[in-house]
This record gives sequence, structure tokens and C-alpha cells, in this order.
Amino acid sequence: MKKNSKLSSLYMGIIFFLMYMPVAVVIIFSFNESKLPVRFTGFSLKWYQELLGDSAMIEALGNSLILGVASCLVSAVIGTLGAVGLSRIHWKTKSALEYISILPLMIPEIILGMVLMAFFYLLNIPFGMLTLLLGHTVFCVPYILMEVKARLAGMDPSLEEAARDLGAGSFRAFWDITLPLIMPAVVSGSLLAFAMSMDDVVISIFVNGPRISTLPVKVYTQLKTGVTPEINALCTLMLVFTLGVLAVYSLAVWLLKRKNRLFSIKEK
Amino acid sequence: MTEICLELKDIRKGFSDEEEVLKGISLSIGKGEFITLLGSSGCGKTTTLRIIAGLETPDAGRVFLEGKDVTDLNPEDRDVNTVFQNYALFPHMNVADNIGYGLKLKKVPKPEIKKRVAEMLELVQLPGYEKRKPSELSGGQKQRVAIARALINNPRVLLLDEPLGALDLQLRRAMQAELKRLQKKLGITFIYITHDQEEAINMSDRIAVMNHGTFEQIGTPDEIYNHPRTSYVATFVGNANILKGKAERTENGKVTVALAGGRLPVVCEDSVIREGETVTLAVRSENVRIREECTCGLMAKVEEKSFAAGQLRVVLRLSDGSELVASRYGIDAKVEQGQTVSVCFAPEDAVFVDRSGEEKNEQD
Amino acid sequence: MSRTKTKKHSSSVWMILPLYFFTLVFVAGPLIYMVALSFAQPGSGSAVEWNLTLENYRKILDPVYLQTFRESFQLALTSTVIICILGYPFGYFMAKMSESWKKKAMLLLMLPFWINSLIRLYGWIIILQNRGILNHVLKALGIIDKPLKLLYSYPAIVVGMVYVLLPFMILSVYSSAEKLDWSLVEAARDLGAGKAKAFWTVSFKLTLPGLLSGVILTFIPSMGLFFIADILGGNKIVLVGSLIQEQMTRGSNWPFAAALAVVLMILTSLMIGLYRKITNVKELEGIG
Repeated sequence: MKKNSKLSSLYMGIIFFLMYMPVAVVIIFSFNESKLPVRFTGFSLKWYQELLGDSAMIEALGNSLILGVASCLVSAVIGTLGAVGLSRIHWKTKSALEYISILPLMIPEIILGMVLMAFFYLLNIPFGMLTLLLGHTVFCVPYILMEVKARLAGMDPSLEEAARDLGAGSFRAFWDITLPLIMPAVVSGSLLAFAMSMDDVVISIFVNGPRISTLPVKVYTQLKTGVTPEINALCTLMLVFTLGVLAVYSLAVWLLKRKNRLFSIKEK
Repeated sequence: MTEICLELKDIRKGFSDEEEVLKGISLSIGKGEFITLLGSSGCGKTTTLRIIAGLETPDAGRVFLEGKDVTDLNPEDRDVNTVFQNYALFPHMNVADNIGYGLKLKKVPKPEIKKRVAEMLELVQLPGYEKRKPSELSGGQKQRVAIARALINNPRVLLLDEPLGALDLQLRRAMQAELKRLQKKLGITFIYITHDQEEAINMSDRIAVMNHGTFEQIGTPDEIYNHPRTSYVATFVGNANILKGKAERTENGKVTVALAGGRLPVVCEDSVIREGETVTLAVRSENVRIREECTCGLMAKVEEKSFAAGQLRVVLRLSDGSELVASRYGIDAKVEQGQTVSVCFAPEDAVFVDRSGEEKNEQD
Repeated sequence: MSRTKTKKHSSSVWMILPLYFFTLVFVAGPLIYMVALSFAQPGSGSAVEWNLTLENYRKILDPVYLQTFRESFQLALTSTVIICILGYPFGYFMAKMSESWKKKAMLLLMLPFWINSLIRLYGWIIILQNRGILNHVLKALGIIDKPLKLLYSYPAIVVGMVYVLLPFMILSVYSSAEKLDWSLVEAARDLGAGKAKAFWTVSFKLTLPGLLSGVILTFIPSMGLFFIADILGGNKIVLVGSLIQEQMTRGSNWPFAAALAVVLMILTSLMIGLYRKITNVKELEGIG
């Protein structure tokens, strides 16, 4: 019963093909000599050279990375502490707060971008890296909050009590016991938040101001005005980078597993 | 009693809109005493323990540890340690780090910690287990580690919340003996929580029977078992039958009680019983005799018989409708369902309970 | 009484303060400001005049803007329906795969998330453009003589929407189909239900919550992804999202943009409310 027919495999194959086809096309044309992505006229690496020489593009990439890491860190702190705090405190406003803090995931991004722009203008915060950071943190916090909350729900509350009982203060118990145990959730939530931050166009466009550009915003403007195959080269590099990180990660997991196995054999 | 170690004064606690969990309880515990809080789930015993540990704050009342008021102290500032019901071993630390955690917080030097952890593991009979992770231990081993982790801090009081609840019967018996041995050896005050009366009787110096947020009776296992003061204690600890009757005549420390058409003499030791008074009797099932030479004239119908734990359990129905369980006979007893038999019990086997004069005066 | 209680928790209060502060100031604050703004009058430039008015909402009822709402809604609905049709079987089949294949499929599904979605959309531009791959292929197959105008059209926008949002639907369906107890399906078959009947009465009903949450996850963003319509539709179709952006930048009419946002938010809240109601009812019936 629980078996897939050939037809369903074929179907999944087609969907995957459609999913990866645009990516493949972009990559193929990154090696194209011609500027127009119409016909493959010859192999060339010149677009990679141009990309590396394009200071505006590199700057945008740098901005995106800084922004992604910074908003990720800030939201990891706010979201993790918030989730733990919510589990400990029983205030009447608790559920309302929780609802509002995950609201950014439930309303269209366009609304969020628009209101943040108006609001920053009202507060007279100069548009730039700071407003970008605040804006990205707004939609990064909920990812981490929800991940950590789910993890905490599965955690035995008496672990932290045991630490308190053995003489740890509230902060120490959090640091020694709760934090290491929720770390996987903090990491996966942060990774998700980082990916979302790196990919965000809508909110960034509203809050970035005239002088600073993130990578997605840069790509967006290029797509509207005129594209060069630098973008294709960029896509290839991003894919290579992601695959590299993935490979390193799986290698680490594999090594860890092997080490544990050797260890437990020695024990016996 | 010897020197007082821990004292609870009029502790009250309620959670949100529910009924109060603790209705003003008071208790003094001597140094080196092994005291058990016995009761069914929801009676407030765990809440009491958590208040002593500092994990809950009472709504009213005070907690004194060796004469010092610790009511408002955080758990980390009390010289009290707890063995949690589910052990609560830190899953990301190995056995040595778990046991040494309390000392590490006190900034004890590392070699010293290592030495004392090894001693502790020796004490709980797990030498050489330092590097194991909690997930690699059996239930009994986890239990020992949890005890070692608490004891290494030399607490004034060790709190144990149903520590043997998750173990199987055989292991439980062995651990009971071991806990008792540890407690004798170290001389630390143990406050032990259980719902198992056998465990309580086997291990404790004193037992405090809890019901609905109050203490029904506090006393030695002998007092609790042989001289229950309330029908709750009699049924919970001794599986006793509760019978209502009327005191007819009192003479020479014996009261004749009329119940369900019979007249039975009952030894009355300490309570004053007036003639004509309605009384409640507790008789343990192993003391109910069936079909024996007796003049009391109490008759009952056999309703049901079943075999359990090496004994026959006979459910009888008295003429006034009350139920009586007898469990002193072997499988060969000639008792048939539907039969009407004579029943009785010895004068010294029944106890007067629920005497108004002695009733829990906390309920004012 | 309460004094001792708060004392107990006071040691954890610091943890929650950043979240409280941040949420109130940067989430609740802007949203409240948006509502206030929607009742104000536009001034010159980005300035706003605080004369209370319903003019902005009245303006939305203007046929031009109503049309915008209708078109956005239509596009979101079309995209969502296509995403359901494509994504549901995928998520369902994926849940039926063996463990090792599940992992591989999951990896393949997540990988594109790490490539900027705009760049992936650019791939579609390359494919769909007049002298693009699709037209080449169609011509080579002799299906068409002259290249079709594929890019900058309504179907191109739908392709973009479906492409960007499909993984969300797949993951949502997959996570609920994963938890499905397959023995229930076998039981249904055993009791005499045909393959289709067993699927419809057991599998589909049990995975419906996943499908519904997938609908929420795709429908709501699709109302606001103005950039897809922008780069694949070439300004032909104006969506609410584009209209809001337009009003915020070139149009400089922030109060009107705020009013549009308020209406859009009410519409999406209604959707979420409806979803909650449906799933709750399902839970009550014991099939949720």
C-alpha cells in the first residue's frame, strides 16, 4: 500500500525538473560569452571576472551578508530569551504578546515593509543599515521564537529546577542547562531566518534608503533596468557556496557519528 | 524529639482559581529523621516538597531550616537538595559532570570535584561510571546518579519525590534497603514522598499521611498502621474496612458496639466513648474472621471471592448494606458465593477512628 | 500573596523584556500607526496632515482601485489553485517514499531556498523571453512558426508565483501526510473501499489540514509579492502590492497606501480566521 507507482515518480521527477530548470539555465548562461542569454556562443569565464570587479555588486553582497548575520544574531537573542521567558512567566498579556510577535509571518510582506517605512520616517530614524537591521529583525524573530518554543515544549521542566536546586541562579541554570538543550532549535531557526534575510526584497526596498543596497535589491533593480550575465555568475557562486557548506556540514555529522560509534564500542 | 531540622508553619498554597492544594499544614522534622509524606496523587505532597525545595512559594506560612526562615530564599540559596521523580539528569552532561555540577557552582577546585565524584559513585555502587551519558544508563543506575548528585552537596535535608516510582518491583525493594542504608550512614534528614504504603512503612521513622491538602495523621509506622486515627488513614495504609455502629456499653476498657444486627466488644485504649454514641470502626481485612465460634451474632452474605497475592479475598455484605472484605484465608477455605456466614473480629483488632475530639483541628 | 509570587518570577523577567520591547515598538507600533495613517490626509511630499477623514477608504471604492483588488485576488486565487493541484500530489507521494529517498527529496526541495528567488525568477525570464529557450523548442518541434509572446504576460506572472510558492505547499502537505497512519488506508481497503474511495475517505481527509495550511502559506504572500508581477508581468498588471509601493514612493500618498494596507490586512485576517474555523470544526469532528 505504502508504495509509489512509476507514474508518481515520473510526476515528482517532472516537478523537480521544472524547479531546477531555471537554475540550470542561469548557470549555463553564466559561462556564455555573449551578453545576451539567447544562444550559447562560446565558453567564457569573463562574467565571473566582471562580477568580482563590480564593486557595487560586491558591496551589495557584503551588505546582505552583514545584514543577514546581524539580524540573525539580534533576533536569535531576542527570540531565544523571549521563548524561554514566555515559558517561565505567567503574565496575562503573555498570549497577546506571543500573537503580536509572530504577526510578521502572517501578514503580507508588502504591508510590513510599508508600515515600517512610514514608522521609521515618523521616528526620524535615518534610512540605512540601521533601518534594514530593524526591519529584518522584525521578520526574523518569529522564526526563531517558534522553533525554540516548540523545542522547549518537549523539554522536561524539572531539568532547570534540578539545576536551581543544586545551587545555580536563574541565569546560570539557563546558561548551563536550558541553552545547550535548545541550541539545535536556535541554530535551525537562525539558519531559516538568515536564508529569509538574504532573500528579502520587499521589506528591504522600503527601508533601505537611497544610499544602501542589499543584494536582492540590487538584482531587482538590474532585472528592471537591464541584466548582465554577472547575475548568472552570482547565482552559480551562491549554489556552489551552499553546496560547499552542506558538504562540510554532512561531513561533520558523519565524523561525529563515527566517533561516537567507535567510542561506544570501546566502552563495551 | 531531637534537634529540629526543618519546620513548616501553617503553609497554604493554591494555584489560580482551583481549590487550595495545601490548607495550612504544619510539621516539625528532627535532625537525621527519615520522614515520609504518604498520600494518593493530588493530595498536595509534591507541592509540599516543592515548597521546601523553594521551587514554589507558599501563599501563606513560613518554612524554617535549622531555625532560619528560608521562605523567601531561592532554591539555589537553600541547603536542601532534591531527587526528582523522573531523575532530571542533564542529558547533555556525563555522569561525572552531573554529579559534580553542584560543586562546580560552589567553585570547588577541579581535582577535588573529581575525587568527591569518585567517592560518591563508590557510595552509590556505580564506580567507574564517570564518562557515561545518562542515556546509556538503566533506570536504577539513573536513580543512583540522581541521588549521588544531590548528596554530594551535603544538604541539610534531602527531598525525594517518588524516587522509586519508575522501577520494577524487585529493583524497588533493593533500592529501598539501599536508601535506608545510605540515610543511616550519612545521618542526613530524608523527606520522602510516595503513594505506596508498604514503601512508607518499610523505610520511615515517621509517616505523615496527607489527604486533600492536610495531614490526616503523623506518627511512627506502628502508630499509623495499628492505631489509625481517621478512616482515611485506616483504609489507605491498612486496607481496613470501615464500619459504623453504636456504642452500647462501656466497661473495663471495652466498649460493646452494636452494628448490623450483631454485638461486638472492642478494646478502647485512649478515646473516651459515651454510651449511645455513634462510632466508626476500622478493621483490617486480615483480621476479619469467617465462620468461627463466636457469640457476637454478626451475619454476612458472601458476594464475591477472588485470589490475589497468596490469599483469598472474600467480599461480604452485612445486613445494614455495608461491605466487609476478609483476606486471612488460603485458597482452600470453604466459602461459597451466596452463602450466609457468621463473621467477627477480635476485640483488640478493631480501632475507633474519626473521633470528633481528635479530628484534624486544622479544618476550622 | 502576589508579592511573593512576582518575586519568584522576577529573576526571569529580564529575559522577556527585549521581546516585549521589540514587539511593542517595532511590530505593534507600526501597525497601529498604519491604522492611524489611513485616516489622515496626504500633504505635500511625504508629509501628512492630521485631519481625520474617511476619504482614503472611499477612494478604494473607486472602480479603478476595486479592479486592482479584484485582479490581485484573482491572481492569488489562480496561483493558489494551481499550487494545490501541483503541490498536493507531490507532498503526498513524498511522504510515501522510503526514508532515504525522503531525505534526498527534502534536500532537493530545500536547496533552491538558498539561491536568491529573484535570480531563480531570472531563469524563467531567460526561458520565456521572445528568443528564449521555450520558443526555440516549440519552433524546433514545429508547433509554432513565429515566437509566442510569453514573457510580460499574465501566464508568466502565474508561472512565477507558482514557482516561488510551490515548495511551501509541498512541505505543508508533506508534513501532514508524513504523520498519516497508513494502516488506516489499508483498513479502508480491507473494508472494501476501492483505491480512489480509500484515498478520498481516509488519506485526503486526514491530510486536509496540511493542504489548508499550505493554502494560507501561499495565498497570503501571493497578495503581496509585487516584484514577481513587476519583473515577469512588465507593469501590465497592477496588483495591490504594486499599488501600495507606488503610493509610498512615486505617488507620495502615504495615507492612501495605509488604507490599502488596512483593507488588505483585513482580507488576509478573514482568510486566516476562516482557516482556523475550518480546522477547528474538523478537529471537533475528530478528523483534524
